[in-house]
Amino acid sequence: MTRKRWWIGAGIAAMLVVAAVIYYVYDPATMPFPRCPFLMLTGWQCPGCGSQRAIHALLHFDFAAAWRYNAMLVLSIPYVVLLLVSECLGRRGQGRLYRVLNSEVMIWCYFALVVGWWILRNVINI
Amino acid sequence: MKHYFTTNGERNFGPFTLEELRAQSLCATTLVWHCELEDWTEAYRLEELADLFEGEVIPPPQIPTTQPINHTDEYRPPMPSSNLGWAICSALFCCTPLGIVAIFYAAQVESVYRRGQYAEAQRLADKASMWATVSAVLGLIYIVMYVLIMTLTDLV
Ligand SMILES: [Zn+2]
Repeated sequence: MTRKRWWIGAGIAAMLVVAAVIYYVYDPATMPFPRCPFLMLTGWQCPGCGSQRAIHALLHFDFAAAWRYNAMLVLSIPYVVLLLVSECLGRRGQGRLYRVLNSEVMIWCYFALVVGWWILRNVINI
Repeated sequence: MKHYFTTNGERNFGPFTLEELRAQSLCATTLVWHCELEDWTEAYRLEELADLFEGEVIPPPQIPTTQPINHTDEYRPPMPSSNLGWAICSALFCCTPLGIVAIFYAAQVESVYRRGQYAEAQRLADKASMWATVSAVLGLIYIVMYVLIMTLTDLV
């Protein structure tokens, strides 16, 4: 079981590295990277629109540009990193960080934030 | 004049006068009540009946059969992972709003677990994971298709 987990972790890490290299080298703003299917179908931006460009900007340490492309992504990265850390620290009831990050209140707040962001960006076009 | 009642645990019998009650073949532990008693009382404890059971061995009270079952703490499974990180990534990277559904399910895992509905919590966690995966797979298929079509149209 732990061995399997280790392999899954290694696989994800490898894919992340490959993705990071691709997104570092190619700029999705100028290259014909896949366009968002939701945007094409509905004309509305989805919560993730701009995340590819934002990652490119982040990999070049251009935080201002990343924020412009997708502010929600920039806000979410620390949360996801903390979630990952807390998962590694163990969640057998003792992991305090895990409990806080996964608490009902926290996730509902995040949920409201994403939905709010989704609506807002289509209303004021960000 | 007091009225007596007896019970077998399911049905009550009475009212009886003391004479009528004494005429019945009472057991020492038959539960009896009259208006001056707070609760059902074993017959041998009542002064006016005690002589009926003189010299009889009184059986010990029954062990209550409806013991509170308190296994919940012993058998509590660990809280299932809410798969929130996975859900967030799928919501923000895959450009399909299905990831939001995953967050919606992830949010409910904790409260349902706290209520002791462990199977339901696990089901919600699995749902969160499932929606995130669907979102990711759809995103992946879309990217592959996109790249394929782009290269094909370039060739043509
Ligand atoms: Zn999108």
